[in-house]
Amino acid sequence: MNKPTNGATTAAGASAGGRTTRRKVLAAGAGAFGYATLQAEPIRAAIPAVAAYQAEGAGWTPRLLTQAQGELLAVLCEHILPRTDTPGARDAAVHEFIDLELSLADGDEQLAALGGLDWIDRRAAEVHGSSFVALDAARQLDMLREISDEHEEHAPELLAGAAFFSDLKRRTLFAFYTSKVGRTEALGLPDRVRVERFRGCQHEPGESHV
Amino acid sequence: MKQTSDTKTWDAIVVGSGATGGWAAKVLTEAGMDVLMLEAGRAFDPENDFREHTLPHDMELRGRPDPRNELLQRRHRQSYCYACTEVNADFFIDDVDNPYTEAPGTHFNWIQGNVVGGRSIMWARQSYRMSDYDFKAASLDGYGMDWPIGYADLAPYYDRIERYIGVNGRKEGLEILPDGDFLPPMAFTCGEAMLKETLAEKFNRPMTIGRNAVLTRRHNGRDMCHYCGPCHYGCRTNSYFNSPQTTLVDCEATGRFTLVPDAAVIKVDMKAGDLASGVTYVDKNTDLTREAKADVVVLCASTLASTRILLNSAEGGLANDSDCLGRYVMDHIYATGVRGVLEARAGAQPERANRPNGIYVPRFQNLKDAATKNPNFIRGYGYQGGENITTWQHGNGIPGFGADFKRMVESSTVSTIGLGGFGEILPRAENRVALDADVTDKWGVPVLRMNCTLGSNEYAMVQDIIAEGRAMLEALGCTNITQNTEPAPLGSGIHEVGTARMGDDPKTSWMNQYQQSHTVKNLFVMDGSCYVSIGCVNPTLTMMALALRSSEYVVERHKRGELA
Repeated sequence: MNKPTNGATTAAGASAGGRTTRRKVLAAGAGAFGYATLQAEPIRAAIPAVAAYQAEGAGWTPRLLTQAQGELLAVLCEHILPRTDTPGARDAAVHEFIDLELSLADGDEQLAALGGLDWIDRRAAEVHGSSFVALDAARQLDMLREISDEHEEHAPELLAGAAFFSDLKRRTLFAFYTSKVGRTEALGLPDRVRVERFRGCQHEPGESHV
Repeated sequence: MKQTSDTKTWDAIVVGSGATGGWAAKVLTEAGMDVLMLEAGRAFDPENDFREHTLPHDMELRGRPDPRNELLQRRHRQSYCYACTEVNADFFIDDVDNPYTEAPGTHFNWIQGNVVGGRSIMWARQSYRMSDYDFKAASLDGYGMDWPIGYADLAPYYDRIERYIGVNGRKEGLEILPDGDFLPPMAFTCGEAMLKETLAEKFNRPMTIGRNAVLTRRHNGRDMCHYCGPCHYGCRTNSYFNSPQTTLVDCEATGRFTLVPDAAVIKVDMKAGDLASGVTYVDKNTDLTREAKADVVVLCASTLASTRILLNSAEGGLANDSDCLGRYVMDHIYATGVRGVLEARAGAQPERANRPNGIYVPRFQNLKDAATKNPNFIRGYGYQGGENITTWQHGNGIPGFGADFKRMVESSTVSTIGLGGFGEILPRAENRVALDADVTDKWGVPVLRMNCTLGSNEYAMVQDIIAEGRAMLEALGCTNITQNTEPAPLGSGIHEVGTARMGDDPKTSWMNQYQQSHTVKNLFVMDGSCYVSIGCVNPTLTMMALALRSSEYVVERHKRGELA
């Protein structure tokens, strides 16, 4: 289950159907000025971190988390940003990025994240007598709703879980929308820098900008 | 690359290859002088060094600071600067090898280049002319000292610099912000156009598009901007001004130019007759100390680096009878400002093109019209900023999670308008850099100890930057307005100037109006050291205009044999 499922993302992204999405609007503008896409950029390999990143294989072994914690994290992230008509968190390997980020974080940050994952499983055991991952999706969702920021306040026994889930939401948003999948499939932006012109405001004086 | 010969006497040595060093060397070599340029930073290769198309997903940590990245870890001070990231950290100086210290209770951010071209590679390119409100500020409000020159003296040099480097902008006819010889202006976004209309209607304040050294059409053989965004990572189409792709190319073409990188100048050497004989420098490839001799020495090492060289050149500082050297450190009030959400633009589609520019609200207080007088401070500030449209970041502010949440994030955008104040910091003798008695750099050369603080005039200005900024955003209809009331330490604006100020009186200034030492006639300092007062506009354009004017003076005096 830890294998990135990037192969599925193209299909998911292509199945947007007849809706006018931002992706389509932006795609329609591509090449409008007739400029060629700038050539591939081998010099990116000159940046050591980039070179190391590109050399990595597709398999995933968590750096900080156990395999079980990694899977729990992947399930949680997918609940935050599930696959819809655009790819989801697992498609973008969001859990892998968060594990990497945490592996480089200081001890307090690591403890907070590990404690949060532990809190989720303990809560699942208390309420349902099961690990979180083993629950059906409806029960998982119910558990996450009670610690979600859709509530302005949380019961004292849920505060720790709510703080963790809020932090995880922030991490998931960043990890998903800065990924190649998130950028190209979900936001409809090109995966490479293209030559563009900046048009800016085209309204006549006195015309409404809204 | 020619090898430098320790026995040769050059017509001139130029120390530093950035914006001003490039101009000095261009003028001197084109006038027939043999020039040796010494650059403390590494050699530069635009084919491999420019990485402006790196996207977040090209980087393992998506551009977040990586504790495994040794380059970045050795730039723990440099990485304060937004422009210093994993992509280009090696454009910046190594803080471990090149330390500086701070007096207890003070902080200073000294951001330095470490590459041929210096900070002209990573600069923010904003290019405004100073006016006589700046050159003659002391006459207007009684504080400090006037510059020995006025706007009329510098205007023809501004013209020539702008025509060469290419500055886009819109003429506004404002006395406080003189117009230049501009390339076509960049466009406002709709949100910015709304702000401009609001400022005109409700405040009677002008606003203009940023004037910056980026080409909006093909110019002087260089291609126009391709709007990728992060110019501070370089530019493969050569569309913003930096010295290696412009002035240094011209120098090279004369056949009278020798550029030596990795050459950190320690001191100016002297000979009989109160004249400079050349410089001593460290060859950073061998750690050996070498000397170079010349008829004329021109320091363009950046303000504080040039001052450090002069302080290391003689007890008490070279040619420092005035005791001005190292004093009157100035920068701009930086990092304070406001930002608000412009609901009227919710859902607006961001352009894929990234305009490397913003808006500018020129100083509107303490002008000749008495109604503009602010009783709480002298001088003034301008705002730089613009509209930003988030594509996903607003998700952090949308409650909930799941499919509906995700669709909401992806189908919405949020527009915010930001206004950041750039305020004039007054020249105060006690704002000072000096040699640290105990600390040396990797090569054993004493380092600078910074002792600089903001004063009451600056703090009063900060309050006003916030209050007026809020009022303008509220009038535009912004909501959720946030503010930063804490100005960054001096140096953070990376506009540090003033430590060897110019003047007609050798008792109160280090150099004359041609950036020539009052006492060492063949020694010039042509970077920001000369500033008498800083005004509130970005300084590089003015520094280049001054360097051009002074370099032509050098050529003329050298021809007449007056400098040897």
